[in-house]
Amino acid sequence: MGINRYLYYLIFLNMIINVVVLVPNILINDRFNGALMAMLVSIPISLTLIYFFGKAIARFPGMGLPEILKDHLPKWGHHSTLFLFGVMWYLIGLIPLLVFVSIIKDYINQDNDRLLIISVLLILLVFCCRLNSKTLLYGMEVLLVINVPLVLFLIAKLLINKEMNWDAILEIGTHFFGIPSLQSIAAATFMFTGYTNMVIFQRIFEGKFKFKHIWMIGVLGLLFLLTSFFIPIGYQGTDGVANYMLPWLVTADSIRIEFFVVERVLYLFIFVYISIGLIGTIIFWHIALDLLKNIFPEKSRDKSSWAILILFSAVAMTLEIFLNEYDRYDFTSAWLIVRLFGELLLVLIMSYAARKKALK
Amino acid sequence: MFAKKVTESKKWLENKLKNSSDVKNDSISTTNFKVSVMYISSICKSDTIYQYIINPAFKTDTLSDYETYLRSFPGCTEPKDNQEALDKMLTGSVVIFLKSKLFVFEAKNVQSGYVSDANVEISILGPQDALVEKLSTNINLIRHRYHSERLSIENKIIGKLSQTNVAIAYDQSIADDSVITDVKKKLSEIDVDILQSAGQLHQLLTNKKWSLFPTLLITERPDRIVKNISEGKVVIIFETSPFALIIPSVFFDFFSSMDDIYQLPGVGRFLSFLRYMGVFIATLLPGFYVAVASYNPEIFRVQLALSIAGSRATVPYPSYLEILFMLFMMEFLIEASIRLPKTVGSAATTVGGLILGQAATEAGLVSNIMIIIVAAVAIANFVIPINAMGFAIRVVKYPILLISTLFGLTGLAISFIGLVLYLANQRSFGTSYFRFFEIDKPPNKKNKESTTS
Repeated sequence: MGINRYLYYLIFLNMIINVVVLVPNILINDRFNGALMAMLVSIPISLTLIYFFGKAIARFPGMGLPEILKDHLPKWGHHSTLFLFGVMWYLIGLIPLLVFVSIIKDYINQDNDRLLIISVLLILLVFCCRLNSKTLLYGMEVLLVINVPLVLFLIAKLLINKEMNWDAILEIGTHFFGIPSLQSIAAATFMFTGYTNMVIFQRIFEGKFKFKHIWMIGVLGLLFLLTSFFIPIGYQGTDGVANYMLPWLVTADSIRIEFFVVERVLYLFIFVYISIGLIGTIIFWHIALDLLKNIFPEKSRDKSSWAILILFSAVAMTLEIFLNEYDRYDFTSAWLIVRLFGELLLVLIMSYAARKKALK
Repeated sequence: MFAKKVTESKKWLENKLKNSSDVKNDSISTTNFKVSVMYISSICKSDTIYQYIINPAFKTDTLSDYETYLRSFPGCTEPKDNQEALDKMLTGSVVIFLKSKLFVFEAKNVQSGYVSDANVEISILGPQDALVEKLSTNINLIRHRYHSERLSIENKIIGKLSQTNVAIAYDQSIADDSVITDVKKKLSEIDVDILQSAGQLHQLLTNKKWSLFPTLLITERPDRIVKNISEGKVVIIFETSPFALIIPSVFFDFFSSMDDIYQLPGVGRFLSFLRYMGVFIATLLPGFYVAVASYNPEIFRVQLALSIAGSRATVPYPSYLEILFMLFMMEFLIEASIRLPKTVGSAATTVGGLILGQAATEAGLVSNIMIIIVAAVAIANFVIPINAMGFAIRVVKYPILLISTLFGLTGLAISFIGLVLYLANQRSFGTSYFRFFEIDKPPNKKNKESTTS
């Protein structure tokens, strides 16, 4: 396993948190029009991107995206690319955060104000995303090791339950042939994008990461896509599933653990997803912060990183005030499309830089 | 020709043991001849050496007489080769270099008389010896468990007024060079008047104002020290303290007891599983209770929620005050029973036990379930085998309790993530303190040599 495991953790993290980035919602919306096809199409697209990205980044051992761009792009290009990707990573972290605030408000702390909830989460995020990259990987490992067995338990529990309606799933299966929309392809490819986090984490461990066993990522991603798409359908029915903003929460709430202290699976689910999702957000914002602060000159980086974090929090709070749940859904699905093209651009830039370095 | 061989052997031995400060290399010149002796002072009896080796040298006339005298001892032999001489020396023999011959003379000093049993880190099946407050005895205890020329022991003096003698022990061939130089550098930079305990040195070495978790392991067990030396760690032993520091240490070291190794593997695993359960209970349970009782009683199954509510019916204040009241009573009780003289100690526990156990519930000040929770927290805390870590866990439950009181279950989840990241952010002499799998240890010297050559 060795050091490479951290790469797989990062990929795995994205696969698990898809639920709180509204991937299942978007796919479920398209369940009669090619969502399944979109999942299928997303695998070759993502695996190709991973392959080229892995090949390109292997040429830059121990270097992060800012250093790579600095050497191979003109200054304006370097700064604008860093800004673009910095904003992208910030938004990847922001969406789960907003979803958490509404989950917490609706299910756990009904008496607290939304702004209070988001401030508490932001305090944790601001302090934690300034930590050392290695620290974050170690912390992520511990949280994953604690939580992934619970995730698997929940999925198994949902799958073997008698209430699960397999006919509904088969019914959706008959809509397999359809032309997938860009939106659902973008949502499905999100599952595989954990590898892009290497733009910063490549720096540590002297770049000893290797992109091996890419097919495994494909298989695992497909499994997670299928579960996160079909299980809500199996519980809420082919039509009913579209009635919920967060179909997975309702699904988790439809089963009980009869012989345990905490009877409602929902709470277990929320806990698992808060701890995995928050570490995800911390990691995404850590990357965003690192990318953005590299725009500034070396001397003022410490000060500017605080300024960036204050800006992060201010934007998060503003969006929390002004976006309702429908806006959040539209925002997310638009952002996922932008993200797909951003990912393409990232792989292109990386390949360009790698090629340039090889020619030198 | 033989004379040359003897000087060569002497050089070879000197070279092998050059990093050990307790190696003595003396020459005895009488009017008639010259001999030299070499021994490790910490494991040899100096009386024996004076009485049977040095004194007679002045009483005999010629070298051959002295040789015959030496040969008459059963414990005095002629080693086959240098390696045998070294091995004998490491187990407590004196090497005597005559003009053309060398002898090994057994002068072993096993210290057992005033070595006491371990009483802080108790083991059931393991060795019972503990370190004492005397450096030479401590080195003796270690040398007798680690017979290898690679064990090097270097002395240092710390403290302007106390002039405390400190020894750094490590295995030359597997300890990490960067850690050794780092430790030596930090030790020489220490500017302090009085140094009296391992805990104090821990603070001076880590140099953090608000650190909560111990990042260097403090132990009193020679068997643990030897095990760690064999794993390539550096150990600091003291003149005036019966504890040693192990550098570097990771979080999980603090949860392993030596019994885990001495017990059968299945039992050992179960014991360490118990300890991690204990940590979860001791840190999270108070916060969880407050969050559930005050914010989200619905997460429990109905019967349980009702029985908690029922037992809290007489309690006139919110759950966080209830748990704080009980936790503080428990802490007072623990502190009192540690510091009190043994004769008064039993009285304190009786009085405290009465109040905590029965009277508080009957008076309606705390609920029955609360008592069970506080007892569970206290007992779970005692399961942690290393004392310093037990104290850290005792403290860490309070911030978690505070955040959970303010923000309910969300606060509990957030403080748990915060705790994990705080731990992951600690470093112990460059080693990552908190990581789940330790597969990729930094390459130690042995590996480095094999990869470069």
